[in-house]
Amino acid sequence: MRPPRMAELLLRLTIRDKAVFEGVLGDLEEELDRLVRSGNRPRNPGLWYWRATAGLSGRFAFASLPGAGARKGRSPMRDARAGRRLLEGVTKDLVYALRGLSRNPGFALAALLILAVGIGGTVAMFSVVERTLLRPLPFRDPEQLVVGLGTVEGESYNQTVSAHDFSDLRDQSSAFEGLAAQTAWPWISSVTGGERPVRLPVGWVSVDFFRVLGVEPVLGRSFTPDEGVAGSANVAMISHGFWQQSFGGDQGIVGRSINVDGNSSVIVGVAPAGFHVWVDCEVWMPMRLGEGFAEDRRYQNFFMIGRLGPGVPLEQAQSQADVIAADLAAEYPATNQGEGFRLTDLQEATTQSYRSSLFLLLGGVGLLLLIACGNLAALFLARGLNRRTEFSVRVALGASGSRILRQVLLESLVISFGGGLLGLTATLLGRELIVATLPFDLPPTVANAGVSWPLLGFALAVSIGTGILIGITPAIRAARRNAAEGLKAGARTVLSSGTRIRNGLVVAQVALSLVLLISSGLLIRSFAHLRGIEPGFDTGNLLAFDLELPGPEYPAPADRTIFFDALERQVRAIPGVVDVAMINRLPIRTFGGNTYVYPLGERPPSGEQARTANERWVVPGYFEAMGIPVLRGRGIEPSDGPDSPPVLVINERMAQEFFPSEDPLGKQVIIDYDEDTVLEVVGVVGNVRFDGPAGRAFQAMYHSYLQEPVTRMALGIRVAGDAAPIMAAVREAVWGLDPNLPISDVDWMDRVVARTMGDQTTMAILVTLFAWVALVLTALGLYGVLAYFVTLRVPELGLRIALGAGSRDVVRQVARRGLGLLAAGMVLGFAGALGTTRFLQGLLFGVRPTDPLTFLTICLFLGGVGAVACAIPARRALRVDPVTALRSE
Amino acid sequence: MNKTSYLGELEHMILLAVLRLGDHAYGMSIRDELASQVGREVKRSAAYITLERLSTKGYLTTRMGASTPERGGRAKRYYEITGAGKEALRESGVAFKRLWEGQESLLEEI
Repeated sequence: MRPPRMAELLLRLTIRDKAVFEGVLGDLEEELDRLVRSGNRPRNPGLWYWRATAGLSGRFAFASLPGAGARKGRSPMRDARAGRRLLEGVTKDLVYALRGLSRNPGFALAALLILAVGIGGTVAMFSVVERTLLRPLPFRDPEQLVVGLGTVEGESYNQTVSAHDFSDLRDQSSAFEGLAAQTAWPWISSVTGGERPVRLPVGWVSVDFFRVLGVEPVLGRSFTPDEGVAGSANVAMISHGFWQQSFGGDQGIVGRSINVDGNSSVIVGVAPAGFHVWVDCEVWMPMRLGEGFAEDRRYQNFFMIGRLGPGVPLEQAQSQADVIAADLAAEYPATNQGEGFRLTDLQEATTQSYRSSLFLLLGGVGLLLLIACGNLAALFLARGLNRRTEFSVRVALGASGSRILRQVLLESLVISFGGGLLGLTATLLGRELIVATLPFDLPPTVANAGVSWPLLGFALAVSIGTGILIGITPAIRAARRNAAEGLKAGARTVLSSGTRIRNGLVVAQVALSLVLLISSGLLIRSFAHLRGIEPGFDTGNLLAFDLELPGPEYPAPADRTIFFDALERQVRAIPGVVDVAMINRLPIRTFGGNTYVYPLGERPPSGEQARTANERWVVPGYFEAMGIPVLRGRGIEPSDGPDSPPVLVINERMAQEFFPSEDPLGKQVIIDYDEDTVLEVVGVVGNVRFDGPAGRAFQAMYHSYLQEPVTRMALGIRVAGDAAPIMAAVREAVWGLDPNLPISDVDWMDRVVARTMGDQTTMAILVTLFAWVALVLTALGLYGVLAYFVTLRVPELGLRIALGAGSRDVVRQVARRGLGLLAAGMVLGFAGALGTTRFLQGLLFGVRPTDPLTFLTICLFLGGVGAVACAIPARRALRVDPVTALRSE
Repeated sequence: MNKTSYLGELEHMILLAVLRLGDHAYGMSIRDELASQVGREVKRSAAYITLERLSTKGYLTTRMGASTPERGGRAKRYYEITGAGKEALRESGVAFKRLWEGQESLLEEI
């Protein structure tokens, strides 16, 4: 009968000598064989083997313990004995610890759960931090990769660069092994050729984009240099997801064609699953200087990815780029004046949008864990004091101080390990939920990343740290106590000597919760501020979706006008539709392009750039349907057709910027240096915050769609009643006109607006949750320490009352103690909050990190809660009966 | 006199068992011998550790024997007493014998 593989392996691992192992295992098999023959077959032979091997391997393992042993001339037997003694000692202490805890299962369970939540939360946040910020990016030698962006006047907000600037930097800098570029936002395009028409984000990349990152296509190839030359045949690479979904993972996909916005492109390769750099794309096409987004130097549509040459530091590449930028500014002042390049480490650049939030949340749960540790340490301390007789007896019977220290420490370590194990398990099971709850878009790969050594190490370290933090003071106190002192019943000096530590714990708790409460208060105020800002149009009951007409099928502008005119009429006829707004890109939902503009005759001198404004195209009736007020003149009207003079409606902001002291109506402007087309300003409308309430109201101008019918349109339908049947009727209307048109991104406008505040919302909710838990824990801690104080003082209070002390004196004595601790904690916490809230800066909107109102309100609030926590034990002190109190003395 | 030069109780018994078993001394048979002659069930782990320790001390040598089917094809590890082993046994035996002198009647009482 063969032993179980694992048992055999265990034995093999512990018995180093192969010959001994052979002999032992052979003997085991022979023994079992004999048992079977003699009719004493064990009921479970596997279990029999396990028992036998467990005993053997345990003994052999200790016999081979390092550091002891034959080398020092000691016999293996003695080593085994020493090892066994150590094991038995620890085992015995562990048994003591478990027994000690089981004597008070409620306490143990509560402590376990508190730590499971505390450690679990910390580990969960760390797991996200580790996967996003600490784990290297999935590219070849990721530490060499940098992101290149533009700067304006040295300001380094994320500014894109033009394809021309990119190619000049690439050709002139020697710092890079390779430099590539990609359009800096996903261009949503209609893609056909798969199972059904879809709208997908498309990116234009320099031909060596994938090579620079060190990414190999799973199928086919990436782009060749000649595919990046203007005028060459259209080719495309597709994402793994698109390949799977629309082509069923067809192995013969390379060489087939897809149609992107009406242009046929041959698929040359498939990117690996999960490939993602900064901007989500499903289709990549080669960028070609002089075409499309790369047409002109003034079109700044790209970000760059560079691979630094071996041993080249980032600073060297940056200083080279600075020189090249200065040269470019001198050569092309109209477009490049004041502009530069900024290189950042790729990982830092890609994580910067959520880096601070993530560290803030990690810090928040960490603080919470610390506060919970404070409560548990106080509980363990009180428990130790109650067990002083037990320890004294053990010491009197010969237990050493270190032995008692070990036992008490093991109790808290058992709890913290249990809590850590529960927390880690919950983290691993709830991975996807955690990632979904977090208020920022993390790379899609984060949720799938498995367990890692750093995560396990962190969980272990936090568990050990927590266990020691909770247990060390009670353990040292228990060990130091001398037997005789403890055995004297009612020795009050012993009882009260833990007070200072407990006081310190409560002060720390109050301070830490004040920091959390103030953070939460700031986030809530910021959020409320944000909620109060109107985006500039009526978002209520407004359904939105996008449509794009394929260019080749609607070549004539009139075709498009006819289509959208018909669609608008049909949609208006649907019962429940109140109004219809049509624009090429709805605000907040879709970004709009900024274009150069100047009043006629005020062309900026060469070497200076024209100012820019956001540019959109609207169908007559748009402003009325959206609830955007027309402040002066008129909106776009049906009469603004292809044959009438080109008109422009501008927003209030643009009117102030461009015509500060004049009447903007009737003014003529030039857009994008096109002096052949003069547009007349016919109206001024209210500002709209295109990026959501947190964004600013940028200057904007609206064309008449009828005068320049673009292919892409978005519809905002104001509805009354149930949306589902209305949307079904809308779909019918669209497909009745053209059955091949994809309808994309159907959503409620107010939800779209809410999503722009998603970060702030969830951050506020999470931090507030932390703060409430911290508040409850702190109130309990404060109550606990005062209640204990009153218990200790019962005889003294009884005596005072007996001697005629008034109730006021008694309450004052207790309250002074409690309020003193509270005040000390709040002073510390206030200072701490002043120092730390600046880390919130990036998340706060309309509130300063040191907002005095928030600080004051929260201090009063915590003070009030703290006072209540003090009042309860103070009332108990009042009820002390002097007779009972004195009799117990 | 150096006290470690004397054999421990289990060492003493195992060396004697090996001596008695001659060519057939391996783990199983040694434990069987102790069980049948002394009535003592020696724990597996104790037996093997002691055997290996005696080998390390040079009191036993080992050789691998043939494998048999009931052993799952694994070879037996045979133990054989060395000169040093016999010397150690002799020393311990002499010590016991001296101490026993005049007390033999105790053996007959049982």
